[in-house]
Amino acid sequence: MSAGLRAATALAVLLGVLTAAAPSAAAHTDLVASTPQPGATVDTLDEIRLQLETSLQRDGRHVIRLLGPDGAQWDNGQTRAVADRELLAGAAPALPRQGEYTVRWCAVTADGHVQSGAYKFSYAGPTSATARPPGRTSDGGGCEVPSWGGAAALTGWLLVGVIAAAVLFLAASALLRRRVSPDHGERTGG
Amino acid sequence: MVRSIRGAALAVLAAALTACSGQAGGDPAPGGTGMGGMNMGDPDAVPAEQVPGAEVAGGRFELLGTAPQGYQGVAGTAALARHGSGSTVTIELRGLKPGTRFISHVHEGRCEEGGVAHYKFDPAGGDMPPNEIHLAFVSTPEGTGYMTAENDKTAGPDARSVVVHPSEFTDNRIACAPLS
Repeated sequence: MSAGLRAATALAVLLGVLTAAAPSAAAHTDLVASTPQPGATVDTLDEIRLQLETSLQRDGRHVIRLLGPDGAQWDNGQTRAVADRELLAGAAPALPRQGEYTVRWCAVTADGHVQSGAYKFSYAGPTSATARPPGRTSDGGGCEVPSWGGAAALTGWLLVGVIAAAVLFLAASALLRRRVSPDHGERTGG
Repeated sequence: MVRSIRGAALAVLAAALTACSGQAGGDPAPGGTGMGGMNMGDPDAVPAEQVPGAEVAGGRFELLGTAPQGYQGVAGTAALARHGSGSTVTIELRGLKPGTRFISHVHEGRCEEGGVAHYKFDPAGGDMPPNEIHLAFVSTPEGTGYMTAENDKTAGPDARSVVVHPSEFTDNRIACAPLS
């Protein structure tokens, strides 16, 4: 086996290990209990409290979003871990309408995995025509699961680098071969 | 030498692209093997009730209190076949929202308990197939859904129920069917 092929094999093994070790962006939801509960109908809505199965990073980027029937954000934008496995966000002081609301959440577990989930519930309590969405967040914005975060970021950038280097080398190699090939001269001359 | 390095570069490129394809997240493709080779079901597989020589258990889907609005009419059946080649699970549902992606899992808890956690062949193993049984599908315009998933291991007695969720709202458990 040539030195080049040995290096390629070693790199392929390394890529496989890194890929297997990276946190999965499609990890399962980890919700054990919540207030309000999925599918419930509630008359009051002061906060969203989520209890997860796994311990959370104390300073992780956790997000709870409360979205109204019109898609507007009605949480207070201040998600925080209030216990080892519990997240809390406040709701807006007043809500504009009854109907089906959505909770979307993501949380970083102590082992670096990102858990996420979503559910709907119904709000049937008092409403206010003057209610306005808080419009500010201090917990990092939307609840999308980061595609390239933590160890996954390292793997991702490594893959991008390897692909770019391989493509560049192949292109340069092909160009060099065209220039030195005697057949090339014959074809262009005929 | 140049040829050798070029071969190495091609091998590295193939390995990197393979790793990239395994890295991709997102919803699994309904009705078959999802991205990364995960088995999420095959609608053309032999249904659980028709697997020769199998021991079949199952029951009817019942609405759960955690269902979102719009699923009050959901009904259907689930069946688990334990056989010499492993396990086959088939679900059949109606009363679903049309054209919607759903995901079902075999759970270890009873329906009276909401299904509790997912059933795992290896309790210390991962939370995706083949260590769990998942069935992904898209409902028809008429609001029906159907899927069969196969696994080469035989499910133990702790495989007690099947729970269906909307793929977008996985914390909403819509309905549960017993596997006993």
